[in-house]
Amino acid sequence: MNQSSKLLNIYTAFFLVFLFTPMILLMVASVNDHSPPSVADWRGFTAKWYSFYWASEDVIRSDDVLRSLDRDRFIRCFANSLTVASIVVPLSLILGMAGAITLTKLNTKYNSFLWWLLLSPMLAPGIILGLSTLIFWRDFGVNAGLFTIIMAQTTFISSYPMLIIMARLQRQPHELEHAAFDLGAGPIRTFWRITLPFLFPALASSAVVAFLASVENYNTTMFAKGGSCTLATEIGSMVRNPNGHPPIINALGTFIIIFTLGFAIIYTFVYQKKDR
Amino acid sequence: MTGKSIDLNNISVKYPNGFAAVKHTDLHIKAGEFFSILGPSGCGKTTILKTVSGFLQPTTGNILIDGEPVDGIHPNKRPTALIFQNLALFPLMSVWENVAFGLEARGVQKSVRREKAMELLDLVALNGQENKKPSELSGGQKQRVAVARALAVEPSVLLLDEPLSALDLKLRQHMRTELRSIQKKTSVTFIYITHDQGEALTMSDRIAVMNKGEIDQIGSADEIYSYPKSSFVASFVGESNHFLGKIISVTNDNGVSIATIDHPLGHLRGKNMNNLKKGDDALIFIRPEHLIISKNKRARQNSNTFIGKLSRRDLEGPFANLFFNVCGETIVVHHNNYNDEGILNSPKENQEYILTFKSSNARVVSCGELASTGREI
Amino acid sequence: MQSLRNSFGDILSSVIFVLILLWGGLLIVGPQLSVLEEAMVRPERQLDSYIISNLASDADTCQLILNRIIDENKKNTSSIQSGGLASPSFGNMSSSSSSMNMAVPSFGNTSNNSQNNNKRPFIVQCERSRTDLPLTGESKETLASRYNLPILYVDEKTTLVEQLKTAENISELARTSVDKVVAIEKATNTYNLENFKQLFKYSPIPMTEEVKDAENIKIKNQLLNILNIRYENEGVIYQQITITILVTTILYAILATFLSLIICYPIAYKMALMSRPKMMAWLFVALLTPYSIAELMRIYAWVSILENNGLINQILDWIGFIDINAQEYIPFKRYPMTVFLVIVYTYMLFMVFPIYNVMSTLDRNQIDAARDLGASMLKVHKRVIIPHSKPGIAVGCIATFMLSAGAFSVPRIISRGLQSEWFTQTIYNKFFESQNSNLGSAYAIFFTITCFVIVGMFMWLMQARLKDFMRV
Repeated sequence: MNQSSKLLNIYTAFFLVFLFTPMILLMVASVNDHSPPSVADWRGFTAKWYSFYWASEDVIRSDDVLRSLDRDRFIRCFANSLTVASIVVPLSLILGMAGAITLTKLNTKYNSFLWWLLLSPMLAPGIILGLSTLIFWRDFGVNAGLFTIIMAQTTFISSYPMLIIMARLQRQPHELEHAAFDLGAGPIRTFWRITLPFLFPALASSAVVAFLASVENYNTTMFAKGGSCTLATEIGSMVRNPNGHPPIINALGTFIIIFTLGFAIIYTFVYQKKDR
Repeated sequence: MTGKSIDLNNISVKYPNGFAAVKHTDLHIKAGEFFSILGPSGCGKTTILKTVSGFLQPTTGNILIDGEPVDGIHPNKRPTALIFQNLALFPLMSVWENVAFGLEARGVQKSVRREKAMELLDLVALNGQENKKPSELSGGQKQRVAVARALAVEPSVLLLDEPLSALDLKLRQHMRTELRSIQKKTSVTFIYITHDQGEALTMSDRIAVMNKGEIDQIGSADEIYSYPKSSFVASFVGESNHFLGKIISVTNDNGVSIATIDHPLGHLRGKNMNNLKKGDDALIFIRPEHLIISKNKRARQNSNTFIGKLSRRDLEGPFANLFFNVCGETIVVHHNNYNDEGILNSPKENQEYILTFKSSNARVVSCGELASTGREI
Repeated sequence: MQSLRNSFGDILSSVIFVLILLWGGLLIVGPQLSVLEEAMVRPERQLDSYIISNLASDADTCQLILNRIIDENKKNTSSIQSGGLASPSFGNMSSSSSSMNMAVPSFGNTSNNSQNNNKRPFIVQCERSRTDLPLTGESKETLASRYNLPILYVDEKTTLVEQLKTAENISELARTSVDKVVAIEKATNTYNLENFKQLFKYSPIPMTEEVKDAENIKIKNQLLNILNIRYENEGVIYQQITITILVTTILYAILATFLSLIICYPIAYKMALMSRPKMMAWLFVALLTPYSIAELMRIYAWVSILENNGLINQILDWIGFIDINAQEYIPFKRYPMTVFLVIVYTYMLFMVFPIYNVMSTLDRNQIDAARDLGASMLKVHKRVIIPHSKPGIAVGCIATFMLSAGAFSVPRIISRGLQSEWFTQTIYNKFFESQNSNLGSAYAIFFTITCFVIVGMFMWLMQARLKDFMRV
């Protein structure tokens, strides 16, 4: 091993430490019996910040810290997130697929314009999409709420499936489609039997990406939400508590980190290997 | 299954960028015929196939299938089935589903579909493979699935676009016989596109040789090989030596027109294929197997004889390619390794020999384009 | 169009076409146009119709109060002066629509000068009841001059009854004119660029001489002086405050992008070209995990570190540098640099993956070949690896830049929105704090266009194409 690659290894190690330290601290604070969350002031191990999410009313009422939290509101916001995602995901898959097909198949001089148009929501700052949706629907008499959140999120989330689907669509030999036509299949059957099954892996990963993007979205949602809330905005407002918020957020964060880690491992070692 | 005839009347195809892929072509293909279109890549043969299958609208002219015009009829409604160069098997369907797809598209019941697919898989000797995915099959097996899939819709015309080009040599030769026998069994009209003259010559009832969007010659394999009517056909099909010169006389030898060309090597005589006249510039083609080598330097004949020095000998198996240097030009001769008595009969390098050929074996055609043969010299 | 129809048939093509139309029209272009419209309309409270209808309600309120005072005076004059304070109830007055009717007049002197019928206290609504109210905008016109109204005002010097009469007249005049003004406003083109001009407005910044001297030497302010965003005139500092925030935001975003590129290029290189497959897979997991974790969690992870009683301050306390119990701490969350660093942390992974994805398509033999031909590693990067990875670098830079410039969650959570030196915060405040969505829209549009122009220039410079986004 030569000098430069040794240096590179050390640098990578530092980078990973920088990357993971905040998250490890977050996880450590999630099991510390100290509110607001702290790692410096160790008060003993506890799992109560986790139990907040499932413990009975009585248990929560008996705890000084947990008592002050509004679990029902949290659950309501979480349910809102799921509602929004359950509409945004299929909507963005459909729009993304339409976009991917158009950009792949349409061969006109307007193509580069279409590229800009359909990718601009992904590039544009999230808040812009939120506030423009807000104003647009206000003019139609629709008040800000879950509906505007869905519209605003769909605007930019559709671009992700579009890119993923397009990458796969371009790998499909166009002869497949011609072969189906030649054997007497109409365009709809060909799409249903040949193109759609071919796109399935791309659709599956698009759905995951779209779901995550929808649930975690904060910037766009903050502008479009009106009086409603989602998981992300709720966490956002908890986190902004100037006196520090009880570590239930750390507990949730720890859960997300572990879940994501597992997902990343599965993706890397199973899915990618199959892909090669 | 019965084949149907195909007529191309004045078909031409011009692409939006102005490239004329096919130029005013007429073609009649008989019902139940194995018809090949042979030509180098870019000659327009695939374009013709696309117009017949309906993926491409000709710019002028019309196509008749069984005497009926098919203009404006979509590919999925034409009685044709296409076998693609890359086969285009549906990767996510099993073998039998692939074969049955055409029936599925016609709304045939699943049990009937499966039965029919099994029958066809039998025909192409793939029984037992029906539940595999195409990716699990070998190249030749994939090939046969593609044929079965195309035959499942009971087409009157099967269009094959260089389907063997992806296979290795041995398998390719084997598939030739298979395709030919399937064609015989089903008596479907086959239109076979290829740039490989071996495939065209071995399988076809008739062959059309195409160059630059035009058909140069149509005929049986023998006619194409032995009686080329243009310089392109003569140079594209099989190997040949050619010489350019001016015709100095045209004579009639028992009803056969023989032209004599004046060339620095001497007078070269061959069959006049294009009714050329005295004074015309012409090319004379002599196939390597028609050149005879003799050692004894007899007195030089008047014509069809020249002296060459053997520069190289490449063994091909049953025969050898001999490369002679004749006044600076390289001439290739096929020479049997053994003489009639079975004695090794090999000329020596750097020795001079006399080369002769019979006028009846040489072909004189008007000057024109030559195919780039890629022959090693 | 033809190839689309060939592949998908008329029905599916139409469905696809309609979907694209819905997405492009209803979700992308439509909302942007409505923002543009919003930005080109003056805020409602600056409209003449708003002013005149306010005048009507002010005049009404004025009448109401005057009536009460007259009643009160009558009572006082008829009854014996008891010295008791008259305290009229204003309970039923609060229905008046003026948002500024909180001024409760003091009636202390009413009873003292009860004989003088013409005396009344200061009543803000009566003061505002005048037809020569100035209009907004740069013209010096008044309501009366623009709409040819007689100049009327409630004159304190006249008797209360006369004042009441005038107020009545004004109210009636205003009410009859409202429809006319609204009609005129509707008829004339109300679109203008006033809101955009607001962006470039110079505001005087009051500061003492010492502060001014201290501020003047700052590099940032000198830079602003050069850009003509800030200048000093007769001892007063004038500055385009909004533009300052915008420029700061963009500069920070560019800096964050650049820093991310420098930090992440070696990591992408290590992962793509310098690791064995197994190592590469684990590195991939190590980077994919934080990349996929919700953005909020990545930000939140920093909160407990940077908090006033967070980890760093606790450590500083522990080593005796500060004393938290004595309210001594370093307020990291107030520093723009903190927001900047967390932005880099949060978005730098958007640089790693695009570069990695493109770089890993490079044939390693090319590197070996170049090395074999005697090129130094630096040269290999310059001539082989970087040119190959350029699309990935371009996409990574664009993504990181747009995310950093448009960062909203980071400043909002880290600095709790107090430190509004990030332009997104300014826009948010305009929308939800000062309720001026017209101005906010103008800011938003200007901001978006600025960002897209920068991205466009960058793409032109890098010769990148939008299609590159598909490769990453």
